[in-house]
Amino acid sequence: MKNFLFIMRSPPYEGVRVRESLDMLMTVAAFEQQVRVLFLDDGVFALKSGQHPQGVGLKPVAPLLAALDIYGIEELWVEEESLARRGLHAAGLALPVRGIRRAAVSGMVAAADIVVSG
Amino acid sequence: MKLGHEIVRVFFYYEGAYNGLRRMTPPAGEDAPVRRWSALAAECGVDLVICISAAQRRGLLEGSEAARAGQGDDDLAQGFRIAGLGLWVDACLKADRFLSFGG
Repeated sequence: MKNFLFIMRSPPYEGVRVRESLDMLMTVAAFEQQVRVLFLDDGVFALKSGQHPQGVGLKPVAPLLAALDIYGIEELWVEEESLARRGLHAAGLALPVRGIRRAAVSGMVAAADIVVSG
Repeated sequence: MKLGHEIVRVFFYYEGAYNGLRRMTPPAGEDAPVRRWSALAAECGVDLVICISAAQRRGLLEGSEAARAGQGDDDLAQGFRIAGLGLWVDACLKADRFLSFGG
């Protein structure tokens, strides 16, 4: 078994990037590998509650993220500084995620066998 | 490869799927990377795989898929094949390193 870390840095409705990253991490989970997901920079917007992109014909991302535990992906992390810089708080997120300080991110990356820039 | 490393697979994903477009036609004097990929496959036997869903989202259809969709396309360059993300995971599990280019 290998440890995969997906670092999600892209905002949720910019093209199909987030959707394609989710396809990737669900495939990894189907191979019964360990998957961690870290939301960083503008990637944290995917976690925000109250997203209603249906008005412009897009599907909301947060329910897809909330469904990841069905695939055995339970380790969702968010970088606390990325949240704070964007005026977001853990209480305003659509699903429970674990916070990690920027100083600890390099350790998380070092602990992974495979790092994917999602 | 000259140093003796083995390349398990090159997997094209996200916008990388465009690398396999057969009809890439850059202006004169500019290189078409697709020909270099095809040469790499022909000369070194490197397995070049484009993700099927990434390809289809971008309108890159291999001949038989296009026929199924009622289209006449045949967009895939020599040396490339189309397959699922499982082949990317498979390569990750076989290789000692995963290298990602272009984000």
